[in-house]
Amino acid sequence: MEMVIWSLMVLLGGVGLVVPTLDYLKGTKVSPYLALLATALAIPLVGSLIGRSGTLFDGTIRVSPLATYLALVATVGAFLVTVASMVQARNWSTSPSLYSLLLLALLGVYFVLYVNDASVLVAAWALVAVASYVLVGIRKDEDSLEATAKYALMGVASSSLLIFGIALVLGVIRTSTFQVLNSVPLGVRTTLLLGILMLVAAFGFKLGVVPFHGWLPDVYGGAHPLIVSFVAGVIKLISIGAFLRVLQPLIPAVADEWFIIMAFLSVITMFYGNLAALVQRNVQRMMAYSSIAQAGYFLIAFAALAYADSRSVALQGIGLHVTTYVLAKVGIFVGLAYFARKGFDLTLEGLSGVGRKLPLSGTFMAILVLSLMGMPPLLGFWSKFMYIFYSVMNVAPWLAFLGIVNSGISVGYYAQVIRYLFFADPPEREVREVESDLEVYVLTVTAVLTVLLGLGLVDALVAALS
Amino acid sequence: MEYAFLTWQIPYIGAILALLLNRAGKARDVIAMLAIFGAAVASTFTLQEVLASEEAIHISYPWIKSLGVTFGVYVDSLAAVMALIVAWLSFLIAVYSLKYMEGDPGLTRYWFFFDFFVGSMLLLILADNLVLMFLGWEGTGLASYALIGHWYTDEDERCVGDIGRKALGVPMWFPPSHSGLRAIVFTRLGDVGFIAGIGAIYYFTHTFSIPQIAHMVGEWAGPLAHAGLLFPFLLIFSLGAFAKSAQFPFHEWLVTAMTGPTSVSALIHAATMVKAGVYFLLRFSPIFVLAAHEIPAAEPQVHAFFTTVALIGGFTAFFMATQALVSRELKLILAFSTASQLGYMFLALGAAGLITEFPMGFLAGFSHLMSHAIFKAALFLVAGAVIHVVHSRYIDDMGGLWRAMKWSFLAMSLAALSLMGVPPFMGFWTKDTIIEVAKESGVFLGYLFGVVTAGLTAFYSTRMVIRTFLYEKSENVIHAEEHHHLHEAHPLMLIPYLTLALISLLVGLVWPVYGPQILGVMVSNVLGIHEEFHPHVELNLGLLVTSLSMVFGGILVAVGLYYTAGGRRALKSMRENPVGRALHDFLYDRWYINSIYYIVIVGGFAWLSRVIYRYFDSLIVDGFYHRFIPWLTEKLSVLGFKYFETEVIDETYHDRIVRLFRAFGSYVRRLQTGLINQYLVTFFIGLLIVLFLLLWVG
Repeated sequence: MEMVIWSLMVLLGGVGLVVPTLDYLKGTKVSPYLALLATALAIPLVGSLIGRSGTLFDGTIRVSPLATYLALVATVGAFLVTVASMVQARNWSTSPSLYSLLLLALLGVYFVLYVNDASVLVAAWALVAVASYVLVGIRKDEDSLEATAKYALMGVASSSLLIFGIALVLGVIRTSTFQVLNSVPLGVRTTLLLGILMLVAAFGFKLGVVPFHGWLPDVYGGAHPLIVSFVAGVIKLISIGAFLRVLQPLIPAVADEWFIIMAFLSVITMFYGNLAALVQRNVQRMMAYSSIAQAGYFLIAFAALAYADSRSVALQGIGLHVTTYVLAKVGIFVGLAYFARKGFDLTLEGLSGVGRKLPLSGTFMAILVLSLMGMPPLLGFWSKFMYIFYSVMNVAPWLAFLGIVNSGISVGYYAQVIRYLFFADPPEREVREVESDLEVYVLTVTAVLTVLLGLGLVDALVAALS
Repeated sequence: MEYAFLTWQIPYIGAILALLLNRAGKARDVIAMLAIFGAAVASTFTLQEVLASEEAIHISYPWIKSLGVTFGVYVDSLAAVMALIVAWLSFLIAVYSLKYMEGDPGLTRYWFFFDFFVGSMLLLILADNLVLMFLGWEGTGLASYALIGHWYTDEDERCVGDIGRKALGVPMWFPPSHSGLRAIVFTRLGDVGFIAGIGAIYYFTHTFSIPQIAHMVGEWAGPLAHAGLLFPFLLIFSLGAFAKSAQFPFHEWLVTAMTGPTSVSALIHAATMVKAGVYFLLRFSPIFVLAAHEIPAAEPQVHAFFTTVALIGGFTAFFMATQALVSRELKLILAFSTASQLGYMFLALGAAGLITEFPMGFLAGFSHLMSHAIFKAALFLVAGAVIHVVHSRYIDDMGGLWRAMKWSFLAMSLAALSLMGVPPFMGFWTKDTIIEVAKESGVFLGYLFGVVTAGLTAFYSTRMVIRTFLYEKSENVIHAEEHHHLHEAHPLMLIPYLTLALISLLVGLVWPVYGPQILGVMVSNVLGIHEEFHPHVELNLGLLVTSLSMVFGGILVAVGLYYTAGGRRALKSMRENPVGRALHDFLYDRWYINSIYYIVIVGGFAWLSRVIYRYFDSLIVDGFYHRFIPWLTEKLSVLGFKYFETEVIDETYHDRIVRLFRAFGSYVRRLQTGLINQYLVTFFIGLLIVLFLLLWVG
């Protein structure tokens, strides 16, 4: 297994570091192809770890089926974004850096997902964080720069909390590896809680948990949609991975408090995200708020991790919902980038009748939106209702009920998107889908997977997760 | 043979074929129609099979093993008969659509969703578990959304309501795209309850299987009843049914669903979608009754639930019928009428749970569902043909059409007589049983609503027939006549509705003889009904006099008002009278309930979203940061002044720092990243709040 990790480091890190230098100095244009090749090769490499577990590199890295699964989802997401970028970023002057950062960030994501030691966490987190700040600003237009400034400033705040929190937690557990902590002496309990809370804030920041969400609408709403598809679809996994790897072992020691924090944050996050999304007229911004709402759903599953009888379903739920979420967000933001490239404005009115002019991508977009909405039998229905909401049914039915209510509210804006895509007059001008539109392939893959997984393969997925 | 699977799968296959045959024109339409025919045939075999075996057919395969969700069918006599009605009606409507939708540019979409709709409806009827049922349930919602908004270009003539009319400042006309949205949002509201209920049952029983849930009734109803939560639970669980079947207060979506093509209205109102809610109650009310029998503590709560259902049903019947009295749009009259008739069915099922012989009430609701499905489909299809001919949805633009459209006139009259409940039509028998059951249940208000509504129904139905076919010709009709536009409907359209109208008469004629047999089949092995029940058809004289006097009273008033010169004068003076005017507007604007919804709920939500969006982010945080903190710094520096009375400190502290803070604030603001400080403040305040929460709880 160490070999696999080494190969990934060489593959992604090597290509990521060397290629832009080559392109910038020699003026070649090989970076897109090499990046595509690297992400494509990473899929079987990560795949070879499926179902295996063990600790590597003197215990600093721990491979587990769930982490491998998340890594695989991240890789597929990164690959799809790379495919879309072949068309989208073709004329960007900064495109070699884009590919470099994409690969390096993906490598960082793996390390966060497999992390078992505080030192690796800090290093990998910093790698991903810095890469993502630069990625957001890579277009160098005003919106991107504004977004990246906010992102970076808030990132600094959250990273300092991360360091502080890690220090407090390590002080209590007295080792730098993350191990299950079943109980804690009363004297240091408050210290541990404070540390956990700071880590929740630090990780929650990346996930878009209210009140640590301030940057998210500006970044997801202001940056180029292609970049957002990567930030929302791939980079976000580090916060979920960190929750699972760093915080989950500590939960048994503070189960009740953990449940309260998660439940409280999930309720405000869901309501904030869904209600704020209702008034958005810009679809990209609406999807940003929808991401906040989705973060709230994840928090329900995190809350369910507090107790033994809801834990296993919650873990399956997280894995499944990550799949739903990554497929949907990568697809939707790539789709939006595509519509923008075809000359559509990304407001609701601007997208009027897109589904009529671009039938394939419009239909697939609608499927992805319906999956986020939780329409059966799409993947989102299973992951959201049947796993995440029902996981908490045993311990706190009211929380499940609030989740379902929120899901009901979300129909208000998701249905609007579909309404404008299909039930509105398309513009007069001539636009067509052509074979060289790589974004359509990305939409196809994400939507078809969403349907197929929902139709019954969901079971196979659950088996792979546990 | 697994005909039950085929019954719902064939339409789905038809939907996919319609999509694949996108460019095949007529062939695509015929194949999509034939798929529905296939489902109808399969449903017939299924029924035969159920009757032959005398036991419910239950076939299931594992699907999502980790959750125990199966992929299966459960067919008792309820499901089999229901599937039969749905499939055959949908088939007739499909035949009608071949001609009616001819030349429409969106036919692939139409047929895809048509077949998808029928498949989903059949799936929800035949499913053996709640998850699969919910899948079909949501499928009907999605398909209805697409079909109601079929004419998405929103031309004025496709709308519902008078263009430009407002009530309480809220627009009262609805373009198709808006109506589709209303349908999905209204019904999704109810589905929140449905899925929450499924979750609760799963929590107690760890199964989704419907027969299992019936067997394990004590395990979920017991704890709920002892906690006093059974009544709210039943209401929440049935919320989806109330919304789907457009019961008050969820009735609004059905009214505006009229923006879809008329064949779609017939499909939604007669065969699919709105009947799903009634079916839900038919499926689960025997189980609820079982709970009341098995658990003493559950009895009063189940009783309360059924009383609520009866009252809501009765009220909806009355309330929607009053709106049909004044409506000027042909399809809208029928829509109000549908919701009103669904109210009758809910009344029957609510009453069923309150009387000693549950199956009697159950059959009253079920048989009325059947007779309503037949005559309402006929009425809608006639309406479509008429609207097609006169190019207007308003009855003001009709009148005197009977000479040109004799067969359509016959079909509408027969179907309307059945709707009114005139003997010996089918509608008479089924509606009378409902009123009888309602009386027996002891819910007097429900019974009263039932009786009064019978009169209202007779009035609006008569008015509708007169205004469409017998009234003096409108200018529009005269104009059409001059240009030879008036003609009888095409046989492909005429035959389906004429058949349905005749069935409605013929079944009614033979009802006293064959009725018990038909009812016996319907109740022969229904999940949850264990006692032997031998249905019989008899007339209760006192009740008959009451209901028939209401019916004939309604007919006479309508004839008097619309078919005599004196009556029209009376109508005119009523319209000029301020009280009459106000009453008319009140009914015409649907008791202002639509406006109230928009003002209170839609407005409220928008307000809440905006408040959260704007003030949470700007006012509170901004106020905190830009007002409170500088103020605090100033105060602190004043305090500081007292302790460090040196000039240097004074100046630095008092002036420079305050200035620095202010300058920093406005500097960052100017950077376009003005909001970042708010975000950070939110970040840290949020952290503090959670910390305090934790310290407070822990």
